[in-house]
Amino acid sequence: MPILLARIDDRLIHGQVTEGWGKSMKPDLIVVVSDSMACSEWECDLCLAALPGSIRGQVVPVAEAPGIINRLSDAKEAAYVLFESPCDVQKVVENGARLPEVNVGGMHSVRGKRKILDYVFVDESDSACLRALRDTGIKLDFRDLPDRESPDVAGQL
Amino acid sequence: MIHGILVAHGSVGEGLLGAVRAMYGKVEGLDALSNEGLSTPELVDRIRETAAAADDGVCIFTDAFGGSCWRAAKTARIPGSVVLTGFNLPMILSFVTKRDTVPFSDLPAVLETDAKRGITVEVFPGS
Repeated sequence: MPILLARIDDRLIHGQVTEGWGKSMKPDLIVVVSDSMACSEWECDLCLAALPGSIRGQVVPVAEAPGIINRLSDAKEAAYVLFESPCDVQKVVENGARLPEVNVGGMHSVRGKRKILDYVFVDESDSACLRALRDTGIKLDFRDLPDRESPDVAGQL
Repeated sequence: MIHGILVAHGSVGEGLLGAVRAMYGKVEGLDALSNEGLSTPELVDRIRETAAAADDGVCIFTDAFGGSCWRAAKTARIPGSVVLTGFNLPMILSFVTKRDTVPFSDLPAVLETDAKRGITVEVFPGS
């Protein structure tokens, strides 16, 4: 089955993902793509502790993500894939992951970043990665929650 | 003084702090932080900055297990701190009234008991 949701969200597994998106699209599995989480058992446990019992979680490093993502598209499980940053998405796409659409749902405020939406702040590298993803034909859906409008902010990248 | 920090979604922390002030009066050593718009590292930084003002220990109260506020509080790993999750008004009132008399090492269990005592369910079946 196609991946239910591929999302950039620096908070990874949190209420918007499990409750907000989970109420309409119920995943069996959430794959978290993160090098920092994958290399730290403490961070990994902390991240997955947030999951409701009905959803399985898996943390994978960026390098292993393309193969896992492409296998998921052919698997029976309904899955979400979460990324910490647009640059991680770009890396997995460059390495062969098939992602038709990416939800940009949380790139929260960090000092020095420019605000595009209340929940999207970018620096040059973020903008460049988002532009590159868009230019490869991936649809970027800017929305924190499924029942919100998806504003057209392409011109601000 | 033992310091308290409410770390919560939206205006939950600020709102609860307002309710505590309305019931108890002026409160020192109790701050509210919101996760609104903040990345987890940024929220972790703010928790650490706020905790730096404390000298006798810090209780960090978060609103929801598994949420970004909870994760930020745990990630901060502040020495001499305790993270209490699922705070409610009884828990914070207990903190404000007991932190000067109960030893810091006993305080988490006391707060947990008082918070849980404040949760009840009463069902009135329909006719």
